Amino acid sequence: MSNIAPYLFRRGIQTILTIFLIIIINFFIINLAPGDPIRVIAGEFAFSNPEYVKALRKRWGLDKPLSERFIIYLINLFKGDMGFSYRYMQPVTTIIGERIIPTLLLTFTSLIIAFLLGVLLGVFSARKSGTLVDISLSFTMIILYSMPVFWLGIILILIFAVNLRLFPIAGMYSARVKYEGVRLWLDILWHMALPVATLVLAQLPVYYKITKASILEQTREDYVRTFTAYGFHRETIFRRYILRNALLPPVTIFGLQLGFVLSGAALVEIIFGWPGMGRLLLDAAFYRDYPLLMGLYLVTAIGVAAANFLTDIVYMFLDPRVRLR
Amino acid sequence: MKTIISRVMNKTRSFLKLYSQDKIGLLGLFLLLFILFIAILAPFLPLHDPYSIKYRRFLPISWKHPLGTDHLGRDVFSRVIWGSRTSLIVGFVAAGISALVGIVTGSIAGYYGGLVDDILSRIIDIFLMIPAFFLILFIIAVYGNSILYVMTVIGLLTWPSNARIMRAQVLSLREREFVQASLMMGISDLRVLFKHIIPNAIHPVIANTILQAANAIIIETGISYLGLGDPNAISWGRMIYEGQGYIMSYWWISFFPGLAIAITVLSLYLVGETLAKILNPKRIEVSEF
Repeated sequence: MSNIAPYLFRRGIQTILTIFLIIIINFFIINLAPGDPIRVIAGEFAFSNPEYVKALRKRWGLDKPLSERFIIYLINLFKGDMGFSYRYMQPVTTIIGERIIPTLLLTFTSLIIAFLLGVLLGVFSARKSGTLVDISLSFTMIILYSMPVFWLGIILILIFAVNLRLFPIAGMYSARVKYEGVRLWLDILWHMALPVATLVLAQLPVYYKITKASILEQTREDYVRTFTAYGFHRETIFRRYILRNALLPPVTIFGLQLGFVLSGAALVEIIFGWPGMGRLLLDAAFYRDYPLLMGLYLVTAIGVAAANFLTDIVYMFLDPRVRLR
Repeated sequence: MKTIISRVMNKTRSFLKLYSQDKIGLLGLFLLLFILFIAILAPFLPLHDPYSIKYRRFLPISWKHPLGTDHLGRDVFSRVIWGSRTSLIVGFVAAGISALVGIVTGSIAGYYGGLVDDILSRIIDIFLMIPAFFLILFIIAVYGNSILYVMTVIGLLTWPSNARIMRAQVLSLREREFVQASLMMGISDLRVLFKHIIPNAIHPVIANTILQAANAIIIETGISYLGLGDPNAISWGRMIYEGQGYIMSYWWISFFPGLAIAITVLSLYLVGETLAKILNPKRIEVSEF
């Protein structure tokens, strides 16, 4: 256990370096853009409001050299100031803060369902390896994997919202009625069904495939043969040893996916009009709202770095070999 | 020289034999060749002009328009065919860039080891953490949405997985006798790297590159689907974007481009997976449990 602290320290430093690099990339994308950066920062306002432009120029220190500007940018970031969106007339931090919860609601729900269902189906398929059920399951998963997620979403809307009228087409709440308490949650749940289903179907094949492959690989390991020779019950070997070892790869994938909880659902949010980060990103890109775009990118990237750090810590407890690296 | 050629021939023959035994791999290969064939021949096929708007709008499926016409009266069938060119070019150029950068970085890291490896590996780790889709959207919004940018950026963001595979390969190869022997004979590092190590290490990267081509196609269609792609290119993603407003009454405008994406990605996926399976003999999928 003695090498936990150095490992954590090293990973922590690495995470901080990553975040720093992302900030640098972010800064240079904007500052190396063709033309005066003030046009990038102020957007359409650069033409209509010289006062505003002047104030911005001062605040971002655009009359100063690049290196000094970078320091100012860092200081502003450190204070939690990611700039001001001229389109929403609000600080970027506030706007993003409002959108994070709906996104997390969608992504966490689908991530957990996809993980559980994918692992379950993978285990099932591996145990029925070679049978018709296994082959048709594999086939379905390959097809699902090949479908672009936005197309899948459109098809689900067409079938379940337009034709069968089981679920709403878009949004997070019913627009005409104001629910409260439990009714509100049921309403959100009802609106969540299709976007969550789309995300689950899109992520399912990954967990399915890796679980199945991992179990099949474990069954060929020497220890399984040894236990069998010793007369252990097959079911015992499977439950106690194979399954435990085989679950590490899907858990790793889960951790990797955890990093994309903020950015991963962007397309699905947009199709279903879900008021999350994805929709915000699209609007920001469309209206060239650069401060918002920079902020969104920064927040998601830091999210990934943080999630990776957390996953590593969890992994360290699951698999002691990691610490020896 | 002759022995080298016959050895390569033998290797190729045994590879082809293994591949031809894999039914799913063959299916993928035929699909992929078929799509390539269509994409290359598109200008010579008896198709309607994909840009022409002279037909009636929203015509349903018929002999004259096998997949109907869209909201501007363009023939959906010929647009789906022409769209294959955009998708394949994006897929292969992006994956090519990714393979090139990945192979070079991975080889250097694996070959030189030590501090060089430490630094390059950290850079690889950092690149793996960048949310590609958000960054691509960001760059396109700032710099413009030419298809060239889209391809390049996808390529420059996806190389780390190739680099990782290559590094692991090179790490094990550089300890092998033939490499050590070449080094002892005084052959330069670069020559050993390019003549002996890279040709022997490259196979898993090829398999991964084909899977990345599929990934690049999905990313490009995603960007075009948002209406942020190159407006001058005929892209399947853009066709879905343009058609989705009419999907309740004229479903064919969005449906068939989506199907085309799925089939293309499927073919690349099957070929890539089969290659990975053949080139990595550890993976035999039989189970007693």
